[in-house]
Amino acid sequence: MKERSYLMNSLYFVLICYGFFIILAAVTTIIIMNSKKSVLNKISEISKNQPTDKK
Amino acid sequence: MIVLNPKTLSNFFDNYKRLLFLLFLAFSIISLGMIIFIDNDYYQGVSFKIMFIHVPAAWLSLMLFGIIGTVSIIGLVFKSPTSFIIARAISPIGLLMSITVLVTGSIWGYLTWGTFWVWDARLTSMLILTFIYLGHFILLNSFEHFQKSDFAASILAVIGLVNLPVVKFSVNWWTTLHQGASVFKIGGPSLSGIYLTTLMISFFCILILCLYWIINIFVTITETRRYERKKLFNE
Repeated sequence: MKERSYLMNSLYFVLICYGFFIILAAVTTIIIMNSKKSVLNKISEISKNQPTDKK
Repeated sequence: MIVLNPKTLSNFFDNYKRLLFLLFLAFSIISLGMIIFIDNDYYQGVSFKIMFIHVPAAWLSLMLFGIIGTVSIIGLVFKSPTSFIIARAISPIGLLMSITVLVTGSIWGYLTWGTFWVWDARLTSMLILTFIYLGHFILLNSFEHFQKSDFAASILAVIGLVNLPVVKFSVNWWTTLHQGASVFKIGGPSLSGIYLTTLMISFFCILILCLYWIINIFVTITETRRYERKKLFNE
């Protein structure tokens, strides 16, 4: 019983403290990947609209 | 011969992104498992487990600023655009790591010292490093032409390098509430077995995550510049 409550306390602490970091990491990843995606989309749009040299 | 230009580096990095993400997932599962099941500290209880974010984030914020300073010197001396792009990609991640250090340190300080903040040499020098990171990040985004912002931010980064040994050795040079070094010190680490292993695994986990972010930002900056060139060419 004592061992179980120790494990739960430890788990709660890790979840709370590490939750902060996990949220921070998730938000950062989303921002970075979104900005990358928007740039790549813009480039592909420009490439589509570019006139080709083929006759 | 490998040509070290932004495009080549960007293609090289793009190939290893997935591998890095998988490595990060594996390390984070092992690290979280170890942190949950590891024994509590005799004096601090469960609160010491915050160390496994705080310490890796502190090492990384110092390491990343060291890299920013070095590539800034290379950029200023050799006028290398790649160096400036690397500094630009690292800057927000370094800022994030230094904020993480301050936040987790404050929580840990509150649980062990009973206060969130003291004007201790280590804490103050770390706060100064965070402000330098913030200044570097703001300078990078405050000019219309990126050459100007790269130059201004590089000068700040080179000056900011002086602060790195102050942060590292502040606990030796002054009497501080913050504890001394326990891993990188003369005579070897004072952390034992499983704690040191967990710390190193957590460090590699956060290092891989930072590398993943930096690589993606590097690719984004390179592609943005390519887009701007294409747009200019089309006009």
